[in-house]
Amino acid sequence: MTRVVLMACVLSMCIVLPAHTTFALERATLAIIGQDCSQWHDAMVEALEQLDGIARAQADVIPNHLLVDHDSLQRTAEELAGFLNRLAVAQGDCRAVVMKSCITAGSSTFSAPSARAAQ
Amino acid sequence: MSIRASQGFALVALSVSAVLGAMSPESSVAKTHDIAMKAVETDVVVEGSGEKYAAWTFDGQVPGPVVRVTEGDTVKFTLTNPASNKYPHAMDFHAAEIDFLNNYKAINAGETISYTFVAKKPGIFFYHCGAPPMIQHVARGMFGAVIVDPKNASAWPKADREYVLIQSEYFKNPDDVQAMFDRRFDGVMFNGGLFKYHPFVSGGGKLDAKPGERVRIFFVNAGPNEFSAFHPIGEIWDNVYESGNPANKLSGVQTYVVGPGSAAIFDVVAESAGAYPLVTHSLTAALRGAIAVLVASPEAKAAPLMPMVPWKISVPQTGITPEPAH
Repeated sequence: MTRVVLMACVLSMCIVLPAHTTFALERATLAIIGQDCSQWHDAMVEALEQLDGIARAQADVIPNHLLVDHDSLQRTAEELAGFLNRLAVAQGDCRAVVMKSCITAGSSTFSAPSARAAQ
Repeated sequence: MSIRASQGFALVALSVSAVLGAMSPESSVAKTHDIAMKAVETDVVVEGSGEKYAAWTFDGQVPGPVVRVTEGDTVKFTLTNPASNKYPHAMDFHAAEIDFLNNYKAINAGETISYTFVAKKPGIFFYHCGAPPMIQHVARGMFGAVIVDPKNASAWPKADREYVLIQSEYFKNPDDVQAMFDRRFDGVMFNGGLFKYHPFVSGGGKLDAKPGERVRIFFVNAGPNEFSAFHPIGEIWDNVYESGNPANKLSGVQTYVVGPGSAAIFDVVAESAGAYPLVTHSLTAALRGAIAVLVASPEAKAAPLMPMVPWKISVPQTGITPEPAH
């Protein structure tokens, strides 16, 4: 009986593991542009954290920016910004824009645009 | 973590010092500091992903502990190389003016070496392992900083906040000494981490300050090979002190070059709230790890001299968090 359970566990691990090994954790930096947008930051964080592939969203590290730790294979930073811009809380003057600057770094800096982005 | 050793320093001397200090801010009683460090060959986190590196360290951390004394103080130093280690190690203090042959020699695993020096000149100084091949011992993490505060505290403006930043090259394969000689580095680190203080990078943190504060950066370039062109994006260095000596003062500097094995003190005052990245303007180094973002905010909290040393990854361990490589 123990062997059967053990085998079942091993088999289920084989099925489950690949789903967890194909991801790329990246941090998206989203500038929240507009007047008095800070009142919406918590709602934006909450909405983002409901999505699959989001490890954490933070609004209290850099003023007027959201930092989103996410699986970049599931969504690009641009898609996260688009998601926020479709939220009801962002229908006013507030817009999310991917922050790019001279200190933009990380793996995306070193690689060519992905096939997905090129499509 | 910093070591401001007070062992062996009598209470009587403390009272005398306090009294003399009250009488004249320019005079103080020299102290003796017993500093002990252990060579530790261990894995340390070097990336925000939790990636570990087979480092050689002082006291198990990269950089090693900050040693802080005052000009004129005596340092009685002991290095222990535990029998559990595999390699010889040594210690070379740039703050010392002593014979190299007797004091900076490598000791084998299971041995101990002690020596004494007087920190005669104020400044920020490099310390490092000098065991052969020295290029590998430095590249793998055996380095740190010594701050020798000037005896006369009024020799420069009082800092509101202080940080130690040590730049060094990262070689992915710690055993590839040829890559080190060929300058084929894979990244450049501040305080032993790639993008450690870059909040836009997964696992990265930041340096904090309040608007208007005088932030003093004690900067050391551990190398082993590359020069640093240290620049504050969005700011200008208020003052730069070559080797950290108040006598070597420059004002209004945009970028200042610090060579391997050298150091300088940089003062910056960010008047407005916002982010001010501190980088080496050698961009191949900055964009491969040497960026530290100073965030000026009225809510800034107090911080240690070397935040995030050791680096404990704060990314929540969820289903999508990658397993740290070992």
